[in-house]
Amino acid sequence: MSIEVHLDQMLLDNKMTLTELSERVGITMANLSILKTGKARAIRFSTLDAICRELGCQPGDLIARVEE
Amino acid sequence: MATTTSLPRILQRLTEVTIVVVLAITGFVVIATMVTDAGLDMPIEFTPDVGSYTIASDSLGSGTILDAVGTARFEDRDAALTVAYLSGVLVYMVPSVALLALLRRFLRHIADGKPFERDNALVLRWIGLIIIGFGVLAQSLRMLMVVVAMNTLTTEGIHLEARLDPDLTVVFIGLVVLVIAEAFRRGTQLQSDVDLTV
Repeated sequence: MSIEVHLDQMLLDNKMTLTELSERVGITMANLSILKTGKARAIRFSTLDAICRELGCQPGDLIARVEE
Repeated sequence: MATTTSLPRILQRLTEVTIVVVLAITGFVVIATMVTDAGLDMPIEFTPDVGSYTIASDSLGSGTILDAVGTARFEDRDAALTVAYLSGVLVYMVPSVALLALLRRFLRHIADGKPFERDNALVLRWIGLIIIGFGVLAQSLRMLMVVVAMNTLTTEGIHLEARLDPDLTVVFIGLVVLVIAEAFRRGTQLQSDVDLTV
């Protein structure tokens, strides 16, 4: 897939762990791991909105399209 | 959520019991055939000699029986007949047990709450193929038995014919199962999409 998820970098910038983010946005660790490792097939707008809200970023900061 | 008393779970247990029963009966038949001198019953299809058997009624008038399916009993049997009989038993038993085992696997996934497990589409596909194969094999075996009987047996009052009389019902059922397997394959893809949507 040519969509990259920069969740690791965003967590580092916010000095937040995956567990903390999971608790704040109400998404399971399993799902966040799927997102972080690039295995996700789709992301709901509600999920994107919740993550961006907690990380103080825009969707474009979190996901990007790269040429393969 | 999987429960121990859901219908799929009950059917799964029933399938397991049926496997054991089929194996037990087959084992009993094989052992009994080998250790006893009892006569062997073989299914036959035959045509009575013309005019041998007639039927009549007040409303329908008279009619003639054209062909029939029955059982021939051989009181004295040789090794060849015994082997043929046991081969027939195994030919029917092996696909039956295979089908039951696959069905049990399918029902277990359903009972576990995972109907669109990747395995299920493959299991259904195998069930469909076995049903079709079994139908073709059974018909071929019946015809082969009649041909062998025609060449080795002498008959009185009847004559044996090897008729091509395919049972398309079994093939149709197999095809329906294959179609359902494709639907389950698509369902598996959709389930995967749902599982990997965050």
